[in-house]
Amino acid sequence: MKLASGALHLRFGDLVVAGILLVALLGTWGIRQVHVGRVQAHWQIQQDEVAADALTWISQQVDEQQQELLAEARLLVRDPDIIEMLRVYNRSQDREALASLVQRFDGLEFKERWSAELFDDSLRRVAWHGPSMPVDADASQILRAGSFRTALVQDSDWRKALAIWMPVQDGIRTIGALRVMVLVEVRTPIQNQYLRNFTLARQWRWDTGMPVQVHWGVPTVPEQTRESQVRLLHGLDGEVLGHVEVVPPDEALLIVQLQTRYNDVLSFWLVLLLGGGIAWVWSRYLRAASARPRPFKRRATWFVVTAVMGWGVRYGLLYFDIPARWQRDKAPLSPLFDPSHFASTLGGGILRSSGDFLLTALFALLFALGWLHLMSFFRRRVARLQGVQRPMVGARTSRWVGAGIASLGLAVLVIGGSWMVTVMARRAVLDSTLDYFARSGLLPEPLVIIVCCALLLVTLSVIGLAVGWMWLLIELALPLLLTAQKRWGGAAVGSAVLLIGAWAVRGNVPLEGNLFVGVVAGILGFSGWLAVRFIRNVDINQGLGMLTLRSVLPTVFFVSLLLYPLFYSGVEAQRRLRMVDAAETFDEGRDPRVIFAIEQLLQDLHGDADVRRQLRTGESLDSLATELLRGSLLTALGGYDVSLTMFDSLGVPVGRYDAAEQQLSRTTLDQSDALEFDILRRMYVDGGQPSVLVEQVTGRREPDRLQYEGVTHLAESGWVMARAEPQTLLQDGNTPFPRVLLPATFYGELAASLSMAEFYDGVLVRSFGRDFGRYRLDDAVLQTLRAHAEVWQKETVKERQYLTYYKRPSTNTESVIRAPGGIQVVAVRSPAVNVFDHLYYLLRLTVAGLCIGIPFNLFGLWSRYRLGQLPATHIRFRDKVLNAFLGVGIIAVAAVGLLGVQVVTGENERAVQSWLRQHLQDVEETLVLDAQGSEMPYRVLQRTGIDSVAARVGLDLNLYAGAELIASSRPQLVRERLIDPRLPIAAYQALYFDGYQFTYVEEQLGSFAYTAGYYALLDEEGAPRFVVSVPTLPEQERIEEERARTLAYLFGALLLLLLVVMGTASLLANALTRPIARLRVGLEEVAQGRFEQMLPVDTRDEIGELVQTFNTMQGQLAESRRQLAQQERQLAWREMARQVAHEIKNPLTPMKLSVQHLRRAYDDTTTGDGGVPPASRFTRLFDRVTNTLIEQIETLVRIANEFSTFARMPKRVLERLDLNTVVREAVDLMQAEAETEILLQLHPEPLVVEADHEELRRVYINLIKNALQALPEDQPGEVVVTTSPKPPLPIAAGTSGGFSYSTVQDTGTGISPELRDKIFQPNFSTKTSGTGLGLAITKKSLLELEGDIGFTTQEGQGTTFWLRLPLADRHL
Amino acid sequence: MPCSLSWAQEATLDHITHAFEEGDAKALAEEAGSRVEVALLGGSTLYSRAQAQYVLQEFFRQYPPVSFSLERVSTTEGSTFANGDYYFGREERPLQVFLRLHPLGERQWEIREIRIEERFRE
Repeated sequence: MKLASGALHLRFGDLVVAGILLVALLGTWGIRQVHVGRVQAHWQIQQDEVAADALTWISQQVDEQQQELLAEARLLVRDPDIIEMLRVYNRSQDREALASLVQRFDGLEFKERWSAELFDDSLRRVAWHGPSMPVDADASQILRAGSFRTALVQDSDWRKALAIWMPVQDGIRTIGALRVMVLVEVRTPIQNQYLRNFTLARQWRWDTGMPVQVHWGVPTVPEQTRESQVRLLHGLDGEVLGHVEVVPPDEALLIVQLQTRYNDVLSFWLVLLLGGGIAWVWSRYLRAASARPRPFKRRATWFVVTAVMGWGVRYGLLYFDIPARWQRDKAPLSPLFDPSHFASTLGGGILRSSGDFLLTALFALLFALGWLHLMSFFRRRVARLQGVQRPMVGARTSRWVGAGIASLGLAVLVIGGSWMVTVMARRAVLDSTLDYFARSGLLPEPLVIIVCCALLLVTLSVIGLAVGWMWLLIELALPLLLTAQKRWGGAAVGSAVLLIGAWAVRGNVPLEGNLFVGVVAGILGFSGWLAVRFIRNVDINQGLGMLTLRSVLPTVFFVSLLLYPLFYSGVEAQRRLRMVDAAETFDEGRDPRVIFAIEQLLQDLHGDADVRRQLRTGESLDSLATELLRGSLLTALGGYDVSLTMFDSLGVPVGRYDAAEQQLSRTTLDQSDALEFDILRRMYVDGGQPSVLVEQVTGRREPDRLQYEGVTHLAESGWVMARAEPQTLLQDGNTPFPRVLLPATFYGELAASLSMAEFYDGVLVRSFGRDFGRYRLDDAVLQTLRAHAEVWQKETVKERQYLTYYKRPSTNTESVIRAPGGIQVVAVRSPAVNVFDHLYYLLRLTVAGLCIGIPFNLFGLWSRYRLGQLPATHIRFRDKVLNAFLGVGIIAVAAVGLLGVQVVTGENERAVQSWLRQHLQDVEETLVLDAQGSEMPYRVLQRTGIDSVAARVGLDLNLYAGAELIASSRPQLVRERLIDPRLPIAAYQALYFDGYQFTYVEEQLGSFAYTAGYYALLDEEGAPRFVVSVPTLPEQERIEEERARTLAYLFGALLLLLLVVMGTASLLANALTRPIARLRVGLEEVAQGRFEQMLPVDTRDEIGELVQTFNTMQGQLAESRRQLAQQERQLAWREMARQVAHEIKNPLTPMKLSVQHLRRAYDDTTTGDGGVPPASRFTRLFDRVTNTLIEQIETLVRIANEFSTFARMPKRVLERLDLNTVVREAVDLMQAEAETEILLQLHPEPLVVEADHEELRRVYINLIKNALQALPEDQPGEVVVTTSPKPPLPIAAGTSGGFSYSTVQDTGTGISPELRDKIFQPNFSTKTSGTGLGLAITKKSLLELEGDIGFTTQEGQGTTFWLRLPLADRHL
Repeated sequence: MPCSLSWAQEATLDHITHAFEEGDAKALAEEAGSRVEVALLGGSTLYSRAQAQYVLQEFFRQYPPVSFSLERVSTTEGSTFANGDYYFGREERPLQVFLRLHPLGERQWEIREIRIEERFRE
């Protein structure tokens, strides 16, 4: 139902929907106002409610967590196998029973941070799964308790866990206990991409939207205030586990939060309304586009309105923070709008997150599609103009001017669009923390895919805009360039000028000049190809046919290829910036932040009375030190070993707190410490006793690296000295520091990915990383650096390519350490990207692009299925070949890829295991070498200690006795719980029960996965006494890097393979289909009666034989036809002669009779009969006879003319005609004589054919006359004449395109079956008058014009004659 | 340690103080270098100036400012360091803000590092 509302043309449904949305919007706003008013009036009650709800929710979370633990615990304690085995083990320490329990627990599957432990009746741990925690002091109670117990377990400052204890009961007897735990707080000593603190409190903060603090293990509750509300957290058994504190929002924040919730709903209604508005404006545009006549201006106006509104909506969404506001803090979509991944100020904020970027790209795509729709106006005009050969008359100058302006516009669009894409790609890299070129497998991470898809969409949009503009340009220029040569020439000149323009502006583009011109050329070329391709009448079927995988894949690949250099340029720029930053920070190893941090730390002590008191009394110094360091900048910086030493007023040390050890030592200082303090104190006094003195001194562990010391004097209390020493890269075990344990600071990240070195006077003095091997700097580089402060160099070192940055610090400051006057050089080196890397990254970009391509392909499939085109009735042979190759190629690539990944991963794992085994065996051999006599290796280890062995083998080692870790070469990692102090259950089972001497276990450090090897040192009885383990941490990185690089090269090679397959497929398909296509054309020629064209035999295979056979057949057919034609001619002549004789005989007989009668009358006049005068009778008779003679002679003349017309070869004047015009003329002529109206259904577009105007008109006159004559006189009839570019149904099958079709249809009597074969024969007629040559002449004319004629008929219903004529431009 | 600041340093610090007080991420980012390290309550990442603006905008949204004061400024090794207290919401315990500024010639300074940490000691 349509309600025309003035110019609005709104449908009733539209109005209803708009009304509902408006009501919803206003209603929501009204409710918001009321609700906000109510809250304002009673905000304190609301505040209490909010806080109470939050506390209740948190309590419920704690209860739910405990319920889960309890359920799991119950499941395990009631397991009959566990009960049975535990009973047996308790009774007889049976090894088999223990092995079964261990195996059972090894097979458990738990969530992250969960663990379980089984204890026997003596509370000895017998089996476990997951991270270890200390046993709480009162665990023994569980054996006496009849039911479960909750507990809060603490492992120093690093971990806290919520635990459920449950007795294992065999009937009424308790035979053991089970503890199931979940970690609720995990602190890590360093923060990076692998290691992060975890606390439930932080999670609850996001969930409740208010500050939450959880004090586990603190059963007392502070006083409730308006500023914070507290609640105890209880275990399921009533035990107090701690308390939770929330800070409820104040009045202002309450109102803001409430308004925000309502605003989220309001924004939803607003989006729907705006979307409806755009849809309505677009519908107005479509109406204007389909109106007849179709002025472009009206269309363009509505398009502009739509576009302005569309982009206005986009910025409106930005202003209202839509859709980010709906996803904030809510996984899984919140990272899409998190600016810490990607955020650029480009475009006023439309790229301020990955999600916004994608949304903007979708808007751009819609805009481009709309633009194409608008500009298709010119595409249709171009299609019509294509056949015009006549030069333009009139308005030529204005057309040249228009074409010139359009060309300029195209240049601006293409260059501007390319610039925009270039800048976007660059910012996508530089304004993000995403690692686009990570070697992390075939599929990039989701956010990288999102950004890549957005860039691809923007590029496609630019191409779409260019295509549309090109149609305009072609429409303007085509009539000015009449020949194909001129057109190609014009295109070439225009493109060259455009590229020169791109070259001219390259300085303003953040990209290498050649690359930018290449990008412009790519966009221009691709747009041009698409524009020309779509000029030919592309209906919806052909359009959908282009969304096949054969078309989509190459398009995605091409656009990815276009984008890749832009991406790479940004990544390269980013890499160089990092290298420059790294050089700056590596210089002399200075970190002025540390100086400031120590100053701040020491200055905070002044004015703090508690500190003075504690210093005087020496009480709680460890907690003092902890508090001082915790939250300080010094600790936050990471990467330094920090210690605080406290002295009394006489300078006697009262204690030293080591942040790494986390303990206070009260022993006296060693000699060097005492010396350092003494020097600092004297400097402090000599310096006039400032509040704080901080100095840089040479390092103890590494004299080449500076450390920082600061001291302050607290009057009457004492002294505090702070030291910060850079964490050495070579720790106690002399093994490199793994990346997973580097802090995620600026310095840490740089250190992880690059190699750095410092040279002094060309000699290496310091290095970091593996890639600087030479100890002398290249002389050429040194010489260059004397003239230039910075040098970038591509180098090959041991067959590997690198990019190296050399910097000579401009200040060339006098080093504290080095001798003055020398030249200092800092170098930073990064592995170069090789060809396979490029291929791999390009493949990843293409894979990301498929996320757009595949939906398009699926849309095409679905559309074709809906239109009934699937399964396809006709598939081109070339497409079949391409499909086959594509399918084989993809399957082959996928199979090789999968297999390759398996093989590489498997080989890697085996290599790691082999490495681990080898090294552990080396450990044993080392012990054996040190053995005295027949001493067992384990005894040697007991004697020498793990540190010594670790130092000798150059590995980190851990030592276990039973399941407990008893020693480690990295005790700090154990203390910090980065290494679990318990043997993994899988290793325990393998070594102690399954009899393996070596095993490996996949372990996790935060989110960093690594493999650890375990080796049992056997005792005299052959039982494991100790277990030595080697974590692969530093090696794991190298192994992972190798694996990643191998996979990257594999994928790069696979992409190359796929390209080769596609290219080969295309060439082969063309090679196969070309001769077949020629055969088809030849067969068509034969079908049309032309036998002259012999096909060339190009190939020496079955196809060549087929062509040869075809040529032979064609020759035979030509000969047969000649003979047939001759026979037919003879027959025709005989027939014609017979017909002429018959026709001539007819008038001759009356002529003879008339003459005889005249002669008799003449004879009568001479004899006379006495009554009538003889002369008058003769006169009358003479008159009658001569009239008869004249009539018959006229008949003879007419017969002679008709035969002449049939026989003659008319002189045709061929010209390009619009078939519709000729038909109209014939109809107009016949309509004048006909009583019945002749109906016309002509094609709206001209159908240009090449024919003789007069002859063609006669054809239609003849057919229309026959149709009119066929109508019965006693009932109404109808004659319809149609024209169309498509064949009518009877001749639809097997007909190729490029013809015009017309029909003349009547509702007459039809043609009886016995007459149908004779219709086109000369001298056949169903009429009493006429020569019967009309249809024969018609057919002859059409055949000679390379057309055809036929008919369908139904007796009693009518006849339809169809005609086919080739269009004038059929072969273009 | 007493510190005498140039007028350029003082102007920059004034802008920074005002930006923190107003929660104006854009103004703060304008004082930053092309690349700036930002650490917000743990972790630390190097951002471009544009990205840092939005990251800080998000921070101010989650921790809307009540007041900000610079406590200490010093110049060491050519860099200027400043730290201050940032009060937000209803929290009585402020967040600690650390800033490192780097000179660009004689008349301009830019922020190279912003660290915001929880304060554990009154």
